[in-house]
Amino acid sequence: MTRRPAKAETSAGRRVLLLSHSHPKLTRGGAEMAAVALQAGLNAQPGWQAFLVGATMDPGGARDGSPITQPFGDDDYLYTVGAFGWFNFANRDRNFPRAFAEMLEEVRPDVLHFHHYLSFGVDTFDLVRRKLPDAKIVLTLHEFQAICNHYGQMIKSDGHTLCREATPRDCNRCFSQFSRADFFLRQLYIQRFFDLVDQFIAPSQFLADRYIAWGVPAAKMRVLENVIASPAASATAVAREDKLFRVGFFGQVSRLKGINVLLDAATRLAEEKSAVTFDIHGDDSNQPDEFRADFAKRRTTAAHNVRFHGAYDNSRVDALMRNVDVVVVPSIWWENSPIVIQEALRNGKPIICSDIGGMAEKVRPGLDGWHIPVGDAPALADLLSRLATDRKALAAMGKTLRTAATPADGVAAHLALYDGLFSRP
Amino acid sequence: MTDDEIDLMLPPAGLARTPWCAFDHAWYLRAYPDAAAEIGSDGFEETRNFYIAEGVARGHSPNMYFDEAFYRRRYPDIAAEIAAGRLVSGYQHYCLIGYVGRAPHWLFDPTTYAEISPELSEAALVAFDCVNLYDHYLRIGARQGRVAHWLFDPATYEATLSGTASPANGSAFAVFLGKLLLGDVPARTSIYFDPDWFAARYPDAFAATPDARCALQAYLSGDRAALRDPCPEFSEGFYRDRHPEAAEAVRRGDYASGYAYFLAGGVAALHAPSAQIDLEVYVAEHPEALDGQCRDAFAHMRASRHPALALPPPPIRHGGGVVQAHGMVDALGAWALVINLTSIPVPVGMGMLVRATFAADVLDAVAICAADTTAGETARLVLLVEDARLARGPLRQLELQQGRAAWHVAVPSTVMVGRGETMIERLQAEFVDFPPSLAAARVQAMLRRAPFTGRDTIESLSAKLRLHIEQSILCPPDGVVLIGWMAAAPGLVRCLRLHSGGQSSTIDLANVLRRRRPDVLATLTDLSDLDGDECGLLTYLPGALAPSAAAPYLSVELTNGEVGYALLPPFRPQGLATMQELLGQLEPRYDLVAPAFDQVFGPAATALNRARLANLPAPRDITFGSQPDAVMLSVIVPLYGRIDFLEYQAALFAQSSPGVPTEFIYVLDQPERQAETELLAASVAARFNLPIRLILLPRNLGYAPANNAGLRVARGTYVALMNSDVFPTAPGWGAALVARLAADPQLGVVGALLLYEDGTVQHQGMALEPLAEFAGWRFPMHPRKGKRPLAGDDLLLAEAITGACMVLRRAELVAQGGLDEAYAIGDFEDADLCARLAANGQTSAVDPKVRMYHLERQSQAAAGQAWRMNLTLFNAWTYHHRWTTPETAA
Repeated sequence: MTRRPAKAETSAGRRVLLLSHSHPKLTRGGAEMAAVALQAGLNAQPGWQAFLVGATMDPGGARDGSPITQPFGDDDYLYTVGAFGWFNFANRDRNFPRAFAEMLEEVRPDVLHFHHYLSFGVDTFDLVRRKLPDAKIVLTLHEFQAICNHYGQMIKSDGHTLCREATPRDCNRCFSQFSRADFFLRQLYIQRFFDLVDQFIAPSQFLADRYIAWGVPAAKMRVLENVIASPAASATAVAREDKLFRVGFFGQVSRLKGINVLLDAATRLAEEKSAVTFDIHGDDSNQPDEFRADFAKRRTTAAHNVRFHGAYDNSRVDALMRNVDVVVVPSIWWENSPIVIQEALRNGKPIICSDIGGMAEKVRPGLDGWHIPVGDAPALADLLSRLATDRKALAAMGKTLRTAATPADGVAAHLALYDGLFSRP
Repeated sequence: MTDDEIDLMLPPAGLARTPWCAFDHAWYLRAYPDAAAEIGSDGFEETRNFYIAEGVARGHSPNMYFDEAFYRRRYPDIAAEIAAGRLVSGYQHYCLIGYVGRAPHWLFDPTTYAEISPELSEAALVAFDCVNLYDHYLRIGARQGRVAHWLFDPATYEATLSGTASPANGSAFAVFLGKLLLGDVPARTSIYFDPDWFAARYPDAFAATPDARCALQAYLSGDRAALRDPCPEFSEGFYRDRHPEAAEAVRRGDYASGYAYFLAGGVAALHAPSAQIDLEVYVAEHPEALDGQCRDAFAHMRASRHPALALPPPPIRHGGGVVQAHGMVDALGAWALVINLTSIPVPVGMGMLVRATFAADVLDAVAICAADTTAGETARLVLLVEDARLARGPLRQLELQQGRAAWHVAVPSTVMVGRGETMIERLQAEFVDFPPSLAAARVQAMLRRAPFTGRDTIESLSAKLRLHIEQSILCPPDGVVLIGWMAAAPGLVRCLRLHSGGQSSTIDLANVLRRRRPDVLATLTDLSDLDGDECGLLTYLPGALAPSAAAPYLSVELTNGEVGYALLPPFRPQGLATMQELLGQLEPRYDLVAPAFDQVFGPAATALNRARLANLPAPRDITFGSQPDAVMLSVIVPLYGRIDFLEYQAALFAQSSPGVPTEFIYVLDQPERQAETELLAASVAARFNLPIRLILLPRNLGYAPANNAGLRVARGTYVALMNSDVFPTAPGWGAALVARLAADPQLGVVGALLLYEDGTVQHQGMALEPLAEFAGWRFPMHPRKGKRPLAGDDLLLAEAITGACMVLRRAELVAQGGLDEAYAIGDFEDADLCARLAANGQTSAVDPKVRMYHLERQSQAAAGQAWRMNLTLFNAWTYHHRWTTPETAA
């Protein structure tokens, strides 16, 4: 078995393997962006080395007989998923254990930091334990997948009713094809492997509380914000001369992100001839056909105060945000720690968000922005109308906004967390 | 002795009429080293003269088969005659008269031999041209493993010859005597004698018998008055006391010892062998001792007391006979014989083992045997051998065996050889006045069977049976694959046979490959009690077709005696499409893989592939551009499918030149693309100034034949076998790889490090590993595939390297016969070549400094491609059977 030559290892340095369910070179979702940002940050630290393995469902990347390959570089690995069980997150790819063990032999990580167990499977924790009994397993939870079979959103299967607690009885009501016993087994299976995790990280207290209620030991849980990419080089604000009050929406255009709440509020404000305008950045390309059809209709009937800018590259978000007055996150689901909130804070923009979940936690009402009752389009319209006329409230908010953590802070916090794992008794 | 007597009784061993009647001077000199020293020469005349002048007086034997010392001690009357001067030697006595009934050697007893060979009447000995029973034993019987003395069992003796090949002439007796001369004494020769116990019990025995070379000889050839016991369970003194008739027989000289009397008959009467042992009690407690698994209760008891001893089965008794008539019964596909047995050691049963030796063939089979034993001493037999092939040449010899009886049946030159109807008539004539028996009834029923008339008669059978052969495939020269289905009530079908030109082959229903056929089951709605779950059949019958016979057909024999006939579809046309059709029939995994390939796919595909590569017209051969005069390296590239790779590869060859004078040989393995390829080759040669030699195969043959076609025209000292999708990255690759070979004669083949288009490793050597899913056969694995290549300049040794890029010395590849064309289409040829090189002590390696791209194509796991997977398995099976050693099998 070949072993790669090690860079100089000081006593402060460690080898970290980051695992992301989708490789950041292939997709650009929040979890994989967080993983790659963390990798870059760790590699910048003297003595630390960070490797990344991402997964893909696309068989085009597979090499016959080798599920784990290195198409992107020496420190990166790509796992082409073989046979994955979505109900209990079981990896049934019989070629995976051997290929994974070979990769662990090569990388010899001290810490394995999972940003998902999707694609790899919760049973991978057991493979790690057997192969590297002294390595530390860290798991960042990005959503409620382990708790909720409905895309991990804790939304009932009707698509909009919020769910506060998962029980086998309730879950069976949402998914009649799985019995209560099936849901019990699912929880048993997942928790059996969660037991092997040394440290859980939740980006929000809200998420942490839900998991603790579900069964993760509080002593193993830490709340740490996701590391996001460094901001772009100083983006200067464009001077504007008009009197319009610009509201920005940034992110996936989807039902759960509250786009319809936004559009309803916009329609009412247009009727009242308010000075509010809406800039919608993002598109619906990932959404189901039914939604896309509905959204297409709404675009044609939308009022003149709504402009659809389409998808944007994440590296341009700072420039785009500096052109708006306030960022709105009207999601009708819990949210965890939306990156858009951190991006708004670092650009000095107040945030309006729904009053539930991780959103509400990250936006202090009256200090970082405002809350609106979830799904309440009229309330949103009222608030925006008020702000448009009273610009002083906005200016005052600008002074009380909390400073977003820098990527360096995030990396340092993770480093401290890793080191802490090794000094535990 | 007169000169005549000397010539008659002491001829040289090579000219002797019988082995016991000779002067074996070479043996004599080794057996009597003192005499040899005195003779001082190894010439025949001098040695024989010494024997006559001196040896006889010293009690020497003239050859290893006649033991002079033993003879004199065994027969005191003869010893007295010699002492009185009326006889020269015991040997003279034996030659004159003793040969009729006396024992010439302590391990040959004529009475015992006659008992187990009732066939050897006087007339029989004359017929065999044997002087006496000992002559028969030495020249014929010993090789057949016949027992001539209870204390020498050939099987027991041979079991002590650990690991050595079986005796050269098959005579355990000769081997034993030869080894004895060299001091090689066996652990045991019979269950009836314990040499170690004897030697410990009678330490003076050897001193008392100076010519004894082993304990057995000391016991059998020693002074009879000494009353020594052969084993702890038998007491000579006790037995003679208890049985005065035995003691009397010994005194008269009829038996060598009380033990001999006991073994000859006493043991059958359950005489007590010693004071502590009561055989009647033993037999009451162990009734199995008399159930036929061994000769007698004494042997059984000895084996139970000494677990290390194997219990020998009862000796085979030998009878004789004569063949009256024999011949093929075409309608049955069976070979029938009418035989007269002249001696019957045991009752004759229903199944008879037959070994028939023809001029150009040997048949081993089990025959149905109907016997008429009413005459007592002799018997008539009618034998029927089913599934007999048409024999090659006349019948020469016939051996029958049943249980512990064997018959050596003579084939007179006047034997009647029949065929078809005439043979049926002859057999039916034999059955007139034949005692009824199960076998007789069965044979007669078979003879009365209605023959095949060309029509399918399955429907008209009284019982419910459906049989349909959907495809039949000829696997040259004479094998057949049948694909179809059969649904019948459980236990209804007794036998299924394929008939061809008068011979038949049984289809073993227990070993036929089965398949679920839901499409068939859906139609069998009226047959609910059928055993039809896995009604699909796939079977291969080697050697089933008779030469130049009419179309084959099937016969189905039911357990109620009825026979039906089924037609077969005409054979599919030969070729690759038929191979694909065959290999697509099943998708076996795990425990189903080995049987599927061992029984059907392996041999059938081997035959089909060999046939499709035979008798090919010569390929076309076109040169584009002017070839270099002297060529160091011949690059051979097969083309198939992506002909356009020629353009890319040639462009890159022209830029990244090999660095040594090279010829480029492309072999097109797709005849329908010849015109297009000629155009492309012409344009490529002109564009890049790269001379190209194009070999155009007349048919699509596969990877090995294509490479071999290129090899045949190659001129370079070295050859590079390359795939069309391998592209060099830098010049000098040919020089570098050739230099590796030149530097190390032990390096047999070297290749480049191959990369995918993204720079990760495609191949850096192969290791073969067993896959449980595929019968544990070994498959080539590519370590580090898909990973980044590691730094390093040293050759990477590997068990095998890929044929996508292999550089070898042309002379060595030619000496190996090129790539092995037994592998079909393309798989494992490279691993096989590397294994052959390794068997020659040569290594395979990859040079990591020489890098090329290899755009490996997609895997074959696509659905509906079962035949591709099975083609790979076929090649894996072929490789497995060629290269599995006990170590790799473990």
